[in-house]
Amino acid sequence: MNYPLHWSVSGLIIGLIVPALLLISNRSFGISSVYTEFWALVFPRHLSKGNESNSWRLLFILGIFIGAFVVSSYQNIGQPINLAADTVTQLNSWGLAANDGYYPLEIFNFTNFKAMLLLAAGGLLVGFGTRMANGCTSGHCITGISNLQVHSIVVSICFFIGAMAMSYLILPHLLKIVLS
Amino acid sequence: MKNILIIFVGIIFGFVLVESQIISWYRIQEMAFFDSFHMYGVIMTAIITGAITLQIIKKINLKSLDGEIPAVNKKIFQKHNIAGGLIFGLGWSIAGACPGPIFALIGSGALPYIIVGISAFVGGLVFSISPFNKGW
Repeated sequence: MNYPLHWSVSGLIIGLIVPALLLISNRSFGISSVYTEFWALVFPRHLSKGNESNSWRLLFILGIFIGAFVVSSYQNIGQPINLAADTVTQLNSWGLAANDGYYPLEIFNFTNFKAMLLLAAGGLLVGFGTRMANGCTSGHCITGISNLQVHSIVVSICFFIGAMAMSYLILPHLLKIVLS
Repeated sequence: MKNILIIFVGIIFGFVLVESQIISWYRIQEMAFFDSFHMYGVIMTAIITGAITLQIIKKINLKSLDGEIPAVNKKIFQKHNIAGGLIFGLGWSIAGACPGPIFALIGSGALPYIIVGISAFVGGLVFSISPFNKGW
């Protein structure tokens, strides 16, 4: 099998998750709801739980862990990935070597406290933002748009605008502080 | 049985996320800079596949294993979804991963992503107690 998997194969399989979950037990593919459902399980008296039984998502996420673990056991994910040359130039100018696998070890580094703060901020924005948007890449981009929901297109465009604003305008400055 | 199938579908998702490298922080930057078609190709193919299969399910009246008529949860649009989308986008670029890939990265042994994952749950809690959280 080719590595990395071709985008068309990857997209086809991910797209098939939408009908698969519907046909198994009428569930809509989406991940980010777990960020609020989890707290509704922890504080059932204070946070409303919604109508459907949501434990299926925890099982689905368990599956993600297992699948990713299995691949990492035979695929060397620490080897450099084949990035576009322009991106490498850009990342080098930010002070990142960009030849260390899936993520930059300069930032994903437990010994750099400022970097850990940046990652925590990123996680907070992902958790808060996806819930405020009422969905993430899976729930809005893939499930929502394939179900022809117009507002999912609008929200998905906002995802990309936000990511571009960070990568073009803000992240270079944050990395200067983090890596100094 | 249904539970085992759901775990199985999750395993396939985790497998594809890692095998196609779309959980990579670098691939998200490539996407943001329009330097590669890879991420766009994955997302667009997934949307087209989902849309076609949903239409087929409707046309031939396929039922779920419980005998229910399968229907995607209709999300109700609220204005703050726009701001939420922009906020998520900012975090998407910093973390280099969206929610599914964050779990896949931790599963693949990327320990610093535990920090990202825990923070995302904290972000969800902040939203839960915020005035925007009505009627979910």
